[in-house]
Amino acid sequence: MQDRNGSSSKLKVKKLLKIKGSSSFTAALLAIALGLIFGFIIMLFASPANSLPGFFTILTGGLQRLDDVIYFMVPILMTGLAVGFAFRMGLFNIGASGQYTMGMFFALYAGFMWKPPGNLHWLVCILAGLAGGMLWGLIPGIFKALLNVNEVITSIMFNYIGMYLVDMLIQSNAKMYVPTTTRTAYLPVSAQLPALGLSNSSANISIFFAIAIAVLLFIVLNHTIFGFELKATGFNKDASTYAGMNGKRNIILTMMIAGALAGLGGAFAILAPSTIPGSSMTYEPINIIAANGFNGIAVALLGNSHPIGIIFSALFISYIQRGGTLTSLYGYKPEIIDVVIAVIIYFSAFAMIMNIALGRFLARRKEKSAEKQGQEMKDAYQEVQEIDHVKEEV
Amino acid sequence: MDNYIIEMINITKEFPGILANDNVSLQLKKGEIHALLGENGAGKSTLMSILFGLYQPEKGEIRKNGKPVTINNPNDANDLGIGMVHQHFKLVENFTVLENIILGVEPNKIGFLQMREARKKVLKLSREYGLEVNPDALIENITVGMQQRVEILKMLYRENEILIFDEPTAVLTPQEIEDLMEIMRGFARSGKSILFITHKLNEIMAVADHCTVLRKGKLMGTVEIKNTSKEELSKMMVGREVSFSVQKKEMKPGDIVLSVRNVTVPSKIHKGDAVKNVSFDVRSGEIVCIAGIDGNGQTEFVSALTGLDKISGGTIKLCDVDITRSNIRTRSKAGMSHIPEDRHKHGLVLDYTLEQNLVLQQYWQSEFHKKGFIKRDAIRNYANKLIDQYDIRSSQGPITITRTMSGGNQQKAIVGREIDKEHELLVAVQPTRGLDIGAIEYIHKMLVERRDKGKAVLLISLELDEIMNVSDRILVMYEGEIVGELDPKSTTIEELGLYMSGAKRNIAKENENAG
Amino acid sequence: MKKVAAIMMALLLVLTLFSGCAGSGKAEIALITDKGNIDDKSFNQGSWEGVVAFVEDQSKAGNKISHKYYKPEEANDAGYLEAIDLAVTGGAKVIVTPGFLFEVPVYEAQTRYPDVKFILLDGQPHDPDWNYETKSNVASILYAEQESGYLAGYAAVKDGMTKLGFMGGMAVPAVQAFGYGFLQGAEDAAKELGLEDGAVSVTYHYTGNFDENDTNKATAKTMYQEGTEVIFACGGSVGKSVMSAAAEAGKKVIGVDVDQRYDSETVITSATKGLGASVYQVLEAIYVKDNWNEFAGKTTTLNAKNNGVGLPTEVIGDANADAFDRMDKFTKSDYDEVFARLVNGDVVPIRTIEVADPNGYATADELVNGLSLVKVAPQVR
Repeated sequence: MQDRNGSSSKLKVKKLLKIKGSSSFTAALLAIALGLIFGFIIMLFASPANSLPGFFTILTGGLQRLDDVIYFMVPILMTGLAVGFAFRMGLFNIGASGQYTMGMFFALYAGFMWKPPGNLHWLVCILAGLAGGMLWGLIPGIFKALLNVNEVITSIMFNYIGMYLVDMLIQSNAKMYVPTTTRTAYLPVSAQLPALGLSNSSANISIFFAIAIAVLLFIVLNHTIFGFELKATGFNKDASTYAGMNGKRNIILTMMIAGALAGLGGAFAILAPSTIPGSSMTYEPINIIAANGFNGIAVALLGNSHPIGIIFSALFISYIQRGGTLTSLYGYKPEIIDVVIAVIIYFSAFAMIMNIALGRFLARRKEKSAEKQGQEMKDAYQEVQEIDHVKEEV
Repeated sequence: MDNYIIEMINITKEFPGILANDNVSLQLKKGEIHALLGENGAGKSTLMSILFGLYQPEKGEIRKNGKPVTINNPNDANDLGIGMVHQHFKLVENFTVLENIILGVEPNKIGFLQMREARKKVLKLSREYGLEVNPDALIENITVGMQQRVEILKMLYRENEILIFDEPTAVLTPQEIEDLMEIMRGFARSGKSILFITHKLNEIMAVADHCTVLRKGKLMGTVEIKNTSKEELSKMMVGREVSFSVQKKEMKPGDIVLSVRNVTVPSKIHKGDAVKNVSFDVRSGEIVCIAGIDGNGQTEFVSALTGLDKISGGTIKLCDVDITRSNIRTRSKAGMSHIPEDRHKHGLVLDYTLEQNLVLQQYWQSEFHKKGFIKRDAIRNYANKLIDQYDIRSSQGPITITRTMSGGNQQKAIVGREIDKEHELLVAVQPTRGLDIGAIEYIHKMLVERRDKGKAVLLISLELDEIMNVSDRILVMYEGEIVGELDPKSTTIEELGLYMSGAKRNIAKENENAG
Repeated sequence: MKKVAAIMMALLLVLTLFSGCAGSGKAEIALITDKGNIDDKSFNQGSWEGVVAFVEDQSKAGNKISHKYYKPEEANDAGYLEAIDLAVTGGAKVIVTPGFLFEVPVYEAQTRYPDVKFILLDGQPHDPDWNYETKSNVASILYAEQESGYLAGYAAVKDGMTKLGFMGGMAVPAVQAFGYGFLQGAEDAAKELGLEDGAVSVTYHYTGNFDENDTNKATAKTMYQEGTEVIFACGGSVGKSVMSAAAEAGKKVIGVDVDQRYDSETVITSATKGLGASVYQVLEAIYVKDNWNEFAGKTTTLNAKNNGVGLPTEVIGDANADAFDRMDKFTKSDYDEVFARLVNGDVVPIRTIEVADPNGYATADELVNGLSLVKVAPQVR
């Protein structure tokens, strides 16, 4: 998003938002609507009789489970921020999974192996998770900045390296791992995050941290020199070099921050309190890459890589998932529900990609053909085109 | 009426939201050279694309010899005898001249190529029109001027009668331009009809019979060249009086600001050096222009000078400070301003607002931030100041997304930014490229004003008029070397052309073994 | 495109109206899957088949009982408990939880839902600190894996094989019991055949995971190359790796938990837990025989006596087929004979032995001494 909140020309800002700023928001809504329609069509085919109440449940079921919506949204909010923040600099941080897993492991390690005095064990665990994720973002960042190795490749590799490493480290640690249940032991209560006190839910205070972090990122992106450089590099690397920005330092810094965000996601997930007293979240080292990392990509895309947008897209995706689970009460098999939810998320993300690509294409074409024509007309035209194109896609 | 070979009557072409051609008519007589004049975005290309079958008009009709025809694609156009030399050639680099000419219409008998026949025909055509080419040379080994001849031969080989030239002189040396004019006259004499798209008035005055002028998609009129003048044409095109000569005071050169010694830059394309052993000085209060045909090392030299790329030898001093290995920001602080060649690639972050782009070189200064937090009001005030001062027009002022601005105003923004910033040296690389006459006039005025204020200006340009009018001293670059130093007051365009094409040099190859 | 989509929507909406409001989706018998899917060819599937078989039989008798399975949103205690909550919301009166992963969630749920009956397979409810308590609304079912393993080992040696392999997942009690039983069965068969001491070699290995991966496949491949004729693949998806190695080497596999003959031609038989049968038994006790009290509030170890373990004796979908058709010499009657010995207590395989290693990996000596092996020579790797 641009710096639009100028003080001297409020009226113009308003006009601009009306014309242009709303287009990414409407595009997101449109994408969601499309995803929902397709989800509904699948439900119709799977079980026509139950499709209406089932679909209604997807839409409204989350309302009955707001506590769970909040609980599940935190990790994908964090990985969404990790992907979205790096994307603002033009880096595709596909390694959020590895950073997430690393953060989770560091948090687990701090939870089991350290016993700091006082009541802030969990805070130490969170910070450990932040450090773990940061480390795992730093390495691809260094590779990119100093050796010009594509961050997509390194971060994918580091997803695997991180996952296998964590699984290995956990399995070889007798204090953390219980072989008979093939998962980690229960974390001490002191390491678990304070619950929100909502009955029968793992929702915890990490939601406040996550939202605060998103707001902080918004401020960094829009009100600081670093954010200015970061976005400039994301929009136009050559121009940022021309303007004398230190690209290497910024790449490393951005990847570190992105990694820290994903790492926090992993920490928040594993440190969440269990609904069963004495129990806790557990991690099963079964050589599977954390899905929350990839969900982060969808969250970031739907949120248009905007920190505040990502809050809402994480909320939406979590909300739809929770409602989706409830549709099993209407005769839908869990597998069908998985497909429906995946379709909704997929469409949301896919339509956004189309929107971005199309926006750039149109902008380029317009430059050539109509540099001097009325601005409002063009914007209207672009919007119409975007909408039409999305429709055609369908 | 009956002697018009091609008529485009009342053509209207609308792109959503934009009238690219609004009721435009154009009539081409047999055997005439008809110029199509207009600024960028005036609708010239759209009109020609319609004639060539790339677009379909909403309204209007096309007639050949008085009969309405429909042209749905370039093949239809070709069948009607319409051929086009595009601005960017469409040649296969590693084919020979002959192979390129016959590409698509290969003469064959039961599938076997009849190259001998083709060769005969090509040689005959090239003799007839004075288009000398070596049919067996590979395209990648011949000059741009030669490549253009191949494009022209392609049209002739297909026996086209209506030849469209889209900005054909942009890539040529003055001598090549002169040759092309002669070739075009030859075509006209032999009964072919020529549509000549350009925004260069001199060429129109020199060669055309009629000229149709477009402005903002509308037809301004068709005039006979012998009854008109350059001034009148430009007024039709721009809509106001335009001055062609740049008003300059006597130059008062001062101290040396930029000192370049033995600079060598490796090429990114081939193994050799793109810039070889270049040395020169630029003093305060003078405009030094590096002239040369595109691709003779100017781009590489500028990259090295401004810090975008590293050099492999030599030294660069700015105001007596060695900046040979300094990074871009240090050079900027040392007093270098840079109007880059490609304003979209380097000059602007197109998705940023105008005000953000206006502080792109200065956002880090304490004036614009407090402990890393951007001072929005300071930026806004500064942007408004530049917008007023440099007349940068946009739909929403400082918060306009730069991408939506016109090319001329984008360039004004860059010029304003680079000039307003503290500097001793202004490096301006093709600062008027792709701009209309009004904007060109403005930018030239700015460059001269810098010089008059005692700054050093290094201009890198491909435009001969610009080189001759604006500069105080001309350095000609050919194949990575400075081959000549000329005084624009005592030299001619023709002579400049000889230097640019490497035919002449007045600076000996020095330090040959130093590189 | 827009129009097409609109027409489709309208059409489907109409269809929906015509098809009316069918079942509300409430289910009386619910199964919660553990981390895998319902078709995992293991616990989820085996247990679910028991539910389906029971419901179908009841349906034939005119007694319709609704049933369905739920998939937890996340595979941890809180997630399982949440799925149980959902099942109860969905009207569940009986909830089947397959596997020991449900021990803690069921412990919590048995208090939360005293009116709901839980069937916990292969586990016993306990709190996070391992304090066991099985309330009167829970039937905890364990299996005598050593008996199942015994039958598999016996069958393999009786069939003429002397080079055997065992690939367990992790050394959890159930896997250990399978392995120990396998060795004892092989020992007894070798004795009956009068083989020399140490004539039967068993390569004994724990993979340390329950995964299908290249390492496990490579391990199996090496065993086959060393001459091993059959591997008892005893650890979830480890079986897939072993089967794929066996297919390449042209060797044999013994499956585990459920009848795995349908997964691969290489599977000659399987050491099964009667998951389906036990679910069926308990459901029958609740709905038909009215003897829920026999299972309620306690742990029932199912063994050969009550059909809780065994080798498969029927091929699904073909009443006349021979379940032992992939064996050379070992027949159904041989099986019935040895099975009878387990039923009437002539043979009682050992379930646990002393193992020093904290991970539960027994050494060859521990195996030989603990299980009194003479004819069988285990090699641990």
